[in-house]
Amino acid sequence: MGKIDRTNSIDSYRPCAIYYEQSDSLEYVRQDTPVIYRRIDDFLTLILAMDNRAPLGFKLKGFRHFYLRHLKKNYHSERQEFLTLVKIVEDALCVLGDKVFDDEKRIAYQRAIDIAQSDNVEVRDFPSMAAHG
Amino acid sequence: MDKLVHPFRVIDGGGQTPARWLDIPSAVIGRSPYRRDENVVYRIAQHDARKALEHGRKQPLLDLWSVVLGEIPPVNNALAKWGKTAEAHGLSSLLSAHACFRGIKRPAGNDDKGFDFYAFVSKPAIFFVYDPSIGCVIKPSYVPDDVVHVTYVRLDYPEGRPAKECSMVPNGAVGVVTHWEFVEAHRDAPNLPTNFTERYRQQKW
Repeated sequence: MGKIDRTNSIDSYRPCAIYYEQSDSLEYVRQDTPVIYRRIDDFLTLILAMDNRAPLGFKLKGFRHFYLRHLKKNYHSERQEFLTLVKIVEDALCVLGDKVFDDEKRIAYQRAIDIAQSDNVEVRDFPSMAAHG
Repeated sequence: MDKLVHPFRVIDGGGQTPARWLDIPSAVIGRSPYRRDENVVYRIAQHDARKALEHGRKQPLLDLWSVVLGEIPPVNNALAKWGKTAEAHGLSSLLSAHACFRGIKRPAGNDDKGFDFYAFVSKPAIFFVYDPSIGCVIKPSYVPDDVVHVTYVRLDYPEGRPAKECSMVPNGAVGVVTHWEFVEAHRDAPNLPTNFTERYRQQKW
């Protein structure tokens, strides 16, 4: 392999919320390490370290749908550059309401809120189709 | 006559071919969602893995190479260092999937119910992690026993390709690999994802 390998030159990971279009999910993870995904419900998945299962982040699934139906209409204007991730998860909790009534789910949502709050995560990456729609 | 102003600008690294591990293959061979003994080709959605990489997140791409494609990620010296080890022989690909489910029970893009997504479950023993050391920046790592890997595929024609319509792609791919992830295994069925009956709509095989 004579070519220059730029594995080292890729910037080190800066934690941020990334919208993945193909899986239609907004993901925030604190570290670039091997992780496992623990499904909580059809909206929230916690991301845990593979070795010790410590919570490292979370993923909001079906985000385009949620963004169009709730966030864009109520909060996100053309002039606004970002929304806080805490606000998004809290809004999801309001929308889901009684569906997040059992303890396990409530704890998981609280954990996601804690991560978003302590890391002060801003979401600047939104579904592009939806953003123009 | 006014001189034309050319908007030339320097593109850093624009003249170099990309490093091999960043050159993601366009397709992968996997099992058919309808028949386990039949092989088909899937395209690989590259945009999301590249996007993660733009933010410095390498692990999703390493997972793609080592668990979906079943190859040692082609970074410098990796093949020389790990190619002949026992670990390298423990790699498995999408072709090693032992279970397939249809429907992910949540909206995904334009698919309100995620019904046209298929989840292929495999149980790889080894994957590669980023761990720079002298000679190579990646190393093999064991997948814990209580973890399985799921690769998600969206079919182009979930109800079958219309009779007169030929595949528009040269490799004859029938769908696209959209994302992939490690999940915890079910307690009573350690080869399947935990709560698989809640996660997916139906088991195909």
